[in-house]
Amino acid sequence: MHVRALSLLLTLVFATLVRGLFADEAFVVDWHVASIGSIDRSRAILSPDSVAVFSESSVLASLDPGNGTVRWRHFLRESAVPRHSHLTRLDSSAILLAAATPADAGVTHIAAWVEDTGYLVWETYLAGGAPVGVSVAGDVYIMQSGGKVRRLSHSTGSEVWEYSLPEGHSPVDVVASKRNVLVITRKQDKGLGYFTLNTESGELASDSFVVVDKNPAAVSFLKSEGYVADVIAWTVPGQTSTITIANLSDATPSVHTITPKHQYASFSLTSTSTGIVVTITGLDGKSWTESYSSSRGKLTLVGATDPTESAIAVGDGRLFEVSKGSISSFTLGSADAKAESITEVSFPSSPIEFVTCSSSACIVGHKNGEYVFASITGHTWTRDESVANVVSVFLMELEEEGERISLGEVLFEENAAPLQAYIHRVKRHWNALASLPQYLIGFFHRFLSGDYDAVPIDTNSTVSDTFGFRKFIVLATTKGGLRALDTAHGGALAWKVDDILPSDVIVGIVPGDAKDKLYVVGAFGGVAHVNGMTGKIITTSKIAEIGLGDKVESVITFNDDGVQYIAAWTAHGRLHFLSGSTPSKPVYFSKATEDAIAGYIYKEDQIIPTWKFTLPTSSYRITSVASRDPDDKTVSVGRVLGDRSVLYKYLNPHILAVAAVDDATKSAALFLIDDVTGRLLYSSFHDDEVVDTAAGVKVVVGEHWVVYSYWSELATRGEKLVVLDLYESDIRNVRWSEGRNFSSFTETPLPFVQGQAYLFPEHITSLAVSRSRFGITSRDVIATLDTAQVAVLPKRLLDARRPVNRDPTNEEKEEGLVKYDPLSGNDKRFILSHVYNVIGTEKTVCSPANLESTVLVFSYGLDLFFTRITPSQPFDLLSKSFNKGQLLLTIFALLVGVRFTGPMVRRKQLNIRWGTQK
Amino acid sequence: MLRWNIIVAALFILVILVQTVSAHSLRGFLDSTVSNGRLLTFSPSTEVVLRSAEAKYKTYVRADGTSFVFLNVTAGSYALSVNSAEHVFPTLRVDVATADVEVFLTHPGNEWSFKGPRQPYPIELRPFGPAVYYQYREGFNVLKLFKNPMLMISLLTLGMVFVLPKIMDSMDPEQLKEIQQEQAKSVPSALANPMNFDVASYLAGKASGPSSGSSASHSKAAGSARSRKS
Repeated sequence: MHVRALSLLLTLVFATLVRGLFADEAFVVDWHVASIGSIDRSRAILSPDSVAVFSESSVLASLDPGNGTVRWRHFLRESAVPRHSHLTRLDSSAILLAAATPADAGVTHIAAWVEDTGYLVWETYLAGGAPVGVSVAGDVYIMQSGGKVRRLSHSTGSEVWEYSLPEGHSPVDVVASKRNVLVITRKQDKGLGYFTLNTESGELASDSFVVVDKNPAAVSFLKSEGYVADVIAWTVPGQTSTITIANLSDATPSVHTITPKHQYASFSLTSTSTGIVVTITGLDGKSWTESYSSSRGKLTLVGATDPTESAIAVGDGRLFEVSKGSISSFTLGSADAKAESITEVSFPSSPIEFVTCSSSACIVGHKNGEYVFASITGHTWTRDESVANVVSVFLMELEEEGERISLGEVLFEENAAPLQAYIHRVKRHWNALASLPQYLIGFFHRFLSGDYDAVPIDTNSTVSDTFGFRKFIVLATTKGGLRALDTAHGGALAWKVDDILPSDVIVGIVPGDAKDKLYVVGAFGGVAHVNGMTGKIITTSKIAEIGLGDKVESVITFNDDGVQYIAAWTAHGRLHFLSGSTPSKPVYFSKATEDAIAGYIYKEDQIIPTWKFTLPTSSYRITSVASRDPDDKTVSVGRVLGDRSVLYKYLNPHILAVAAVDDATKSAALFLIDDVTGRLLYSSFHDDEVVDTAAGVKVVVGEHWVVYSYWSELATRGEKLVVLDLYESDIRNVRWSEGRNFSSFTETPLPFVQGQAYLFPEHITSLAVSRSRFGITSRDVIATLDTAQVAVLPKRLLDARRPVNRDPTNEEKEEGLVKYDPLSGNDKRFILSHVYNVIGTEKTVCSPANLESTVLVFSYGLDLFFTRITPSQPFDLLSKSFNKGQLLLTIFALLVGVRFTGPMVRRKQLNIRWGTQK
Repeated sequence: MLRWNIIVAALFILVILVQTVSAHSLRGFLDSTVSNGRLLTFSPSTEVVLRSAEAKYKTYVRADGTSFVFLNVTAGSYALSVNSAEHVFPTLRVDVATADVEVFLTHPGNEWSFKGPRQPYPIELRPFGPAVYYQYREGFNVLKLFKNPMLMISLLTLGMVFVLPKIMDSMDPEQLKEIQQEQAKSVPSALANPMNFDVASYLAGKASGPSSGSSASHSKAAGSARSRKS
């Protein structure tokens, strides 16, 4: 073996261990999709020049109304719970978000943000429960579930006064005006009513509790503020024909009961410049509006629209109606409403969940996670937020370029009579001529630019590029749909399917028996067989034997003698094989729960539990489980050391790495288990380090090694990255397996484990390992960070054999080892995602390109991030800086040189022969 | 009106006093001045994070573009860091006690018991510099090409090819003979006859000569060959 050459190469590579992204490759090889998550109508503020949203994924964002791109966003997972939050406008330039904090639901976090830039104006924490009602009238008035009402300064957020509800009153809402503050409460024996507070002092203006409804069980409470009327409305259980409305803006609030023209299922309330508008949805699903004018303490019906099947919503004084292909607006208040404008908009076919409107535009939320913004001027954009909630991911290989000839055709040409075969072949070639111009264009393009990426690929085709950089990323979303994104075109949508398993929740997608087929499995036993190239559903079925109350938890694939079996694992501990046949030989698998790992054997249609691994104490809980990617390949069974001896790798595909934390003692532990027999191969404990157990331990298994990370306080504060390299023996050149396959059932020695810990500067949220096509390329560890970035660390850097406290010897240098430095990755060039703000990524998947050097990396969670990496440099790819012109110029210069010096030399030689040369 | 303001202010102070008993607030700012007087800007997505194993606080830059405030911080010892895509910031150690707040500069890998230099409070965070994510390719540069020693050597030899014959011509024949003899003696055999160098055995870590050890280096191999000859 050319060990020295290899080590020479390695040393060269080591010289450039920190290899950043080339500036010209940024934004070219990578792309990023910034998501905000599902939008809820109650937490979206729409005005003609802004869109502000606090999403279900805890993202506070301001969108550009022009094109829907994110102007700014903040990921408030640590400070705000979407379910207990209120988003309102503070003034013309700021928005206000009040929400319960995730750590303590009894504390409200309230913050004002500059709407244009996203800077924080002020924030404050308030004890006393989650926010119940927020009202802005100059200053901010907030009511909390603990019965506190507070006035906060509009400019600083500091508390002006505080009022506590008397005993027996439960908070409902708060309505503030310039004059007074109405605190709406519910008292068990009296019913729904309000107190009036003095705006300046926060004291009761009058002692009386004014009851507006004697029925204390009033429900469907709604509030609308602004314009001439501050109104609240409610209904009483069992009553579906009347709505009670209290107009609180008059000097003495008045209570009215209105009777909509049909019985209703739900309603909403909007106050306008002339009165109030009630938008009602009837029991039959049809919607209509009724407009009331409010004057001198009276509510008078001034107009109503006809019930319609379409979704309707009221913006500032206008009614918007969304139907299949258009959005139309009406002026409210007139008896016979005529459409003012009708704008053609192509809405997704998915059912509409909500419509919310300003005076000139609407956002239409669809069930499939798409949000369409449509203005009456015809300006539209769509945000597909379904990709913010991904359940499962599969990177789909596309057809190779030359694959246009089918196997059938090849067989025909091989077996048919010579003449027929010849005719067939000529015909095929004739047909292929059609793509010649495109080929020629591509060829010259490539020749001139030297860049394979520059070759145009038809975005609609399903053909891979030469290097296999183009794949389809198939995402299964919680919204019940599939999305396929094209890696080569900035994540453009290749195809999409909505509602693939009706009334089911997708659990996972797995590649099927054919290359382009996918199985989509639902929790309630729905199975869809999908063509991954086109998104066409081939068949849908249902697991018939699934028990009552049973649910599919995950999808497992078994590989038995090259045949792949796909099975759904259920909560009741059953396996249902999807592809029909069941494996003939017994198969082993394991399942992790919160505090234990259980091993099973599937044999003759029966599942027999075989082993169970329980954590040392009951206060431990499992935070992550990892095993080696079954497709990962090994090219070298050993590691060649500087003195040409070999340490043999412990290559056991059944290693299961289990990471656990103990919340009580703030410690962490890692266990390596043989997944077939449950044998404990190795364990390590981090007991006295004060581990951040909430962040947990992240773990990844590579070829013959395990890397895990956790944040701890001692001895030094920071994220610790621990690498464990597993060898068959600590003695060099000794290999007990003697090169034969070994079985988990035979008594084999435990692996020799060499470990080393490193310190990483940022907090790691997940780990992954790169996988190249043939496994020759070295491996990189990819980490998603809580700084909204994705980092890459070469495994060579995380080596357990790096010499500590001394310089490497010559032998170690030949091995490619550098001196141990505890701090690894302390260079921004390790950040793969460079300037992208990749929020909330929780998982990374890697897939090989056709080139051995290149690995495609895809991170997902909330945002999507894609890039490609070359862990051992792009050794099989011509560098982008390679100058073709320079090469040609050099050749030309040499030719010229030869042309001139040739005659000179010839003359000289001739002279020598003639003896005329001295 | 004035009376109200006083009451409001008094209430505000009272509230702050009440707050400091239960939890602390920390103030600080990101230093936007750099040495050459240019002002730095910090994007609104810049997050300031205070962290220990028990608690994590996160806040954002205020509307003035530089300052930040942590509210409701419980007493403890925290690491303060800044998540910024544009700038690299130092990590600070912030000890929050009932009495006061102490800030120290810290470096990753330091033992936590080892406190770095004391820093002022309100917290001042001056970025080390801009974050550099990229590598830059070196373009073709004629000047750089000529700075290459290999090229300089080859150019020199090329020049010699033309110049040497002329010098030889101008020398007298006896002197020339002397020089030639001298040269024949001094040139080592390995260099004089580079075809003898065995690449394969060099890569295998074996010297070409039978006398040398298993891990002989290149120069050793050449040296042994020379000693054999003389």
